Amino acid sequence: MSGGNGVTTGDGRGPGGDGRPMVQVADLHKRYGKIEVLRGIDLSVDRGGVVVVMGPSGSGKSTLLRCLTFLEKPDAGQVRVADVTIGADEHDHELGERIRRLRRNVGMVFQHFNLFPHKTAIQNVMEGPLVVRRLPEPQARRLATELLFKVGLADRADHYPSQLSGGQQQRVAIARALAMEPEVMLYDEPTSALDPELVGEVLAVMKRLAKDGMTMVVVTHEIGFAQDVADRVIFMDGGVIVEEGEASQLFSAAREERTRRFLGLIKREPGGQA
Amino acid sequence: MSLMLSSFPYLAQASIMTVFLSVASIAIGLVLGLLSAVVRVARVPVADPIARVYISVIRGTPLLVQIFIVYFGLPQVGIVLGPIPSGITALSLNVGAYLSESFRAALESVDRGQMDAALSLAMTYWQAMWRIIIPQSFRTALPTIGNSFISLLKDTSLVSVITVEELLRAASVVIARTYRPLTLYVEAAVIYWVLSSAFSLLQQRVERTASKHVRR
Repeated sequence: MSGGNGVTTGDGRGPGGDGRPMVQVADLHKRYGKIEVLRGIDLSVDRGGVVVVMGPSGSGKSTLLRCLTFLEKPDAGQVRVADVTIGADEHDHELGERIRRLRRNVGMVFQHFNLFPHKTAIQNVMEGPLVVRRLPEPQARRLATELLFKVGLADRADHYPSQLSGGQQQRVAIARALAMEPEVMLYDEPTSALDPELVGEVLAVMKRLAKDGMTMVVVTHEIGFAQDVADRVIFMDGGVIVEEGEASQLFSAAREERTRRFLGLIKREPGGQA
Repeated sequence: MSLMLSSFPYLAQASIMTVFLSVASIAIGLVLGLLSAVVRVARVPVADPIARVYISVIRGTPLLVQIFIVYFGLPQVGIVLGPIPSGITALSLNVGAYLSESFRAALESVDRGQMDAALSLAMTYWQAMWRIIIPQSFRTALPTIGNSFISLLKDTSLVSVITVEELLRAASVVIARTYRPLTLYVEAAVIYWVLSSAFSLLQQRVERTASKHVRR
């Protein structure tokens, strides 16, 4: 696992620090019945890199993230995160164990937060360290306290999710993911379920993480965030990557008509929220 | 009226057995119900079809027949249980099957995102089930658990036929001596009613506490 002090991760040490990209996806395919949701995705994210994925609904963005951690099993292709590589065609008896090893390196943040409603904020954050990393209780509590402080919610530690605003819940969810000390953070439309006035606080936390060197893949339509933070923006449509490039280049001079049309649509929305 | 008063201590004492049978059976039934629901939801090989048959058989046959099979039938294959263990066995098997269905519905009603979140923390499926899904489903199932318990409380009267000295049996014993069925049966009915009402109140209390933090 990464050697850091428990809070800062993606610090250039640990597995994957061998010059290879932190995340590598090769020729990923996924279909639901007759519908091909992913039709051959290749993607690589460097250590410390921030990739923003955009695209219309149904373009396969969320499925891509879910396949990255095998929440959905891809039909073909290969995923590597840090030092764990898993192919879609594998099904030996150790597969479950290897998927869990891969997941330990990946923090996932969901559109609807998915906090555990029967646990307080701090219990949510402590859950992974206690159950999966098997840290002793005091150590898990210390780590969780630090992380809640980091996302600006130290004073909400003993609140239940139902007592928190959407923005606060999402920040707890980020802290919960960070508590596994992952190498990579994946965000699946982290602000699209939020009231507009709560979007900023979540994006601010994500920006700070990116500045600290966290490797991130973010599915979002927040153009401002992409411009500020992303090294690369990927535009997906119909299960393929249509176009990718630097944010400034993509937003001002996209090559593909499909990209331009989509960007035109989301820019018209206040706040760039699609 | 005086008979009601004079017989009350005897009936009250017998109703302790009624409560004991109910509590013991619901405890075992909860374990059976949860287990059989979980193996079904998780589609555990072998256990899933067994659970399915268990639920179907219990729900498709009268409780009285189940009690007879346990008490009169099992000795034929060498399993001899006294009246009280027989009663508890039949009642727990029975309530377990009904609870299983409520647990299954409750487990399935937990938002799918909860499992996603737990698995994303690299928990195993069973860790996620045990720590995240089952506790939440308990909350959903609580009202039906309460209702099952109250049905069970009344169903215990059926084990009077295998000579367990519970409330109804006690009433019948007094009737045999006094020939005053109306008085005694009404008295028994009142005691059942008071007991169910008390447990209903308790149930409401528990539900309120349990749902304090959950927005639905």
